Amino acid sequence: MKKMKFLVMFLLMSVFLGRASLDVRAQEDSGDFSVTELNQVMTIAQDCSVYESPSEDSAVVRDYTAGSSVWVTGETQNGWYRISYQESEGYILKDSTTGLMIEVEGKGIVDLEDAGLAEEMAALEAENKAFIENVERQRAELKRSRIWMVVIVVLIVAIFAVGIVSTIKQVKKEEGQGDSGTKKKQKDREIEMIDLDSEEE
Amino acid sequence: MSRIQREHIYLTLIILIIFCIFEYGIQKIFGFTVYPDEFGYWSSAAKTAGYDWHEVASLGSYYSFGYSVLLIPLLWLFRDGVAAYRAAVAVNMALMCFGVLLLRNIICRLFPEMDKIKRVFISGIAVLYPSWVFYMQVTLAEALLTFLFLGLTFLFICFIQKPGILTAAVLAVSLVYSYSVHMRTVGVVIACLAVLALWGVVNPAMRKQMLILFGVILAAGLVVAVIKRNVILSVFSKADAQTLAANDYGSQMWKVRDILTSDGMLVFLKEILAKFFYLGMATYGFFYWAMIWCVQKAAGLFKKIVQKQSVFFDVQSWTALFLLLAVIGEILICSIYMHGSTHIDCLIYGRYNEFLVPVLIVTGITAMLKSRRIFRTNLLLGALSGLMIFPILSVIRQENMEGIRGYFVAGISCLIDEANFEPLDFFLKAWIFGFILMLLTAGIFLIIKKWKNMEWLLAIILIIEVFLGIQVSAHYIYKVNQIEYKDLIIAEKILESNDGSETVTYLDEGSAPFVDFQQMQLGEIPIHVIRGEVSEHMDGLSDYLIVRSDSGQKEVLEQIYNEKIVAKLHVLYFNRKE
Repeated sequence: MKKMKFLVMFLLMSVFLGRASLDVRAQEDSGDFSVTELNQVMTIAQDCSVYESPSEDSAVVRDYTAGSSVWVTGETQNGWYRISYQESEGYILKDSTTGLMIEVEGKGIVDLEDAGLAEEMAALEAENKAFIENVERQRAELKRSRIWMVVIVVLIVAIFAVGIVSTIKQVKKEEGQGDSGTKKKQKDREIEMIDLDSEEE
Repeated sequence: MSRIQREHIYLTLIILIIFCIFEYGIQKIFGFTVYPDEFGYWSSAAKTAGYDWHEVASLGSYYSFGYSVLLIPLLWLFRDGVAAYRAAVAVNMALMCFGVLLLRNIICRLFPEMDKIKRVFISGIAVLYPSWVFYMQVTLAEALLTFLFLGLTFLFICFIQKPGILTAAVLAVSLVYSYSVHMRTVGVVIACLAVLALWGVVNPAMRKQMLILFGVILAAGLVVAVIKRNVILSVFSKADAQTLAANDYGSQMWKVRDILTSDGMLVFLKEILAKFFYLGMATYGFFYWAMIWCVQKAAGLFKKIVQKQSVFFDVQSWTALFLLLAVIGEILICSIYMHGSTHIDCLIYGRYNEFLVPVLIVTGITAMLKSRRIFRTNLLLGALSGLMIFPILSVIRQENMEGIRGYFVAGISCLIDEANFEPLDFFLKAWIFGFILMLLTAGIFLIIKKWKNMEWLLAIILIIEVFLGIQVSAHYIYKVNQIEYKDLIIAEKILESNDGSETVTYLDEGSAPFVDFQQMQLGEIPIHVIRGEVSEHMDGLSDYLIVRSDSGQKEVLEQIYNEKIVAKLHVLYFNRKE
């Protein structure tokens, strides 16, 4: 009995501790992966790689060269940006980009904030937002259009299907009627023959 | 599966195809494709809905108010401009769906011997005519006119079959209403009245019905005239006389004078031929067959009248005469209105005649199915169409015509290469394409006539029409709307920050105004219009100023306003609020 009680207590403790540790791990995980939503275009300042998750241990999905533009859709708390490319997502280190860059005469490529062009930055950000919204809308529209085009094609195929099936059924029906017509004629002839025979008798 | 079941299945599938075409394009549509015509119809509706759009409306000509009657409830229901526009497109789609049912009924009355399944397919082919698919997705009057003409034909047939007082009254009101939708339907009105007058003369016992018909037309006509005057005074009050009269009868007199000269008459005849060419090629020859049928039946009718035979209930002959006169009337009116224009599309101009096409397709296909020489006749008609190209090209050279707006010739616009447009190349392609389709349809009809239960092969024509309709819509409607979407930002900015006390102004510098789109989005906020130089209006400049993106006065405006929003077609200037 005591052993049973000890065993039950041990199991309960281990479940509790395990759950707690899972929670901790989950919190750590969610802390790593918690993403603040952003929506801006940034320029890559130095060659970098895009990772599957915000960790340099994860797989590299593609590389970017300095000067490339990326669409940043989020920011993690551990120094990564989430980016969107084609229809997938990846993560790059924040150090890889230092925000919006422009070329200033006599200064080369500089950060917009350093260049003291905050207003232009705000305007550019608004333009980027509109551009991104437009791209998203066009993608959704294209997807929707494809679906409806498929439905139209299916409806047209259905017209042909109904027509072909009914034609085949009609042909078979006529063939069946033709066979039964032939059989009826044969039977009529047999009856005639019998009648003739009986008359002769 | 019985024939009745198949009939219903095909009918349902065709109506679903119409609905799917609507759904395919609706999210790509935000506003006007054709300026300023569409806004002209909306502005009359806006007046009744309580909006004041008269300053922007006065940048364009007068547009009939008939279509506006359908748009008024949409403006009441939807405050958002995009939603109201899309609702109007949905109404057009519903009219197309009803059009299939109405056409089926017309075929049943006009050609009762026609097989039920063929009726459904012929109705579907008539309704899915690519131009109707195009007009369904814009708020021009053409979609409503096409449906109205189906209604007129149906009422006409009902009246001939059973001449009742109620039918006479409804027919009369419909005729006048169609005139109020678009003044150019005067050809159809005159054709209908002329045929009915002859019918009344031949059938003296029907005098009562005829009196009611003409009486109602007169009364309704007076009402329409009064409403028209009020609309011009209230909605188009600020338009200058020349702009206002551009679409009205008054501005056509110089064209009539030119046509009555010897050179002008020759050009005019070639312009008529060009329209026959367009209608023939765009309908794969069905238009030619319809005309042949109409002429044969009308000739037979006159022969019977001369021989004093009974023609009282000869529905087909009377309808044929009505259709023949309607086509002649509309082509003549279109040719007069388009005479003297420098655009090549005005020479073949499908827009003003195509509302007749669905009924003509029905009669044309029926005539083809009854003919014993389908292939030979189509070969001959195709060859004759090729000969029409020469007089068409001679007019283009003589009148120095150039440029083509494909949305006015939607039936063959898929062949237009805007970047490298060559008239000879285009008309040759249109002829070859139309000729091939004429031979294809002839082949299909021969198979249908020879073997039973092959009506479903008519779906091949449906496929061609559906894809041509979507192609022309994508090329003109969706493309233009992509640009307009980017201009929504201007109306959105005004709406989000306007507390009702701020004013909005548009600077008209003489270029084609696209500000109609902004006015549609702003709804109850009227846009005032100023003309000329900004410096002349410094005292009364409003809180928001809209200019075209190619305005030559941006530098001045940037001194006056400290904020701007640059869209695709327009730029919005305003002062940032402290």
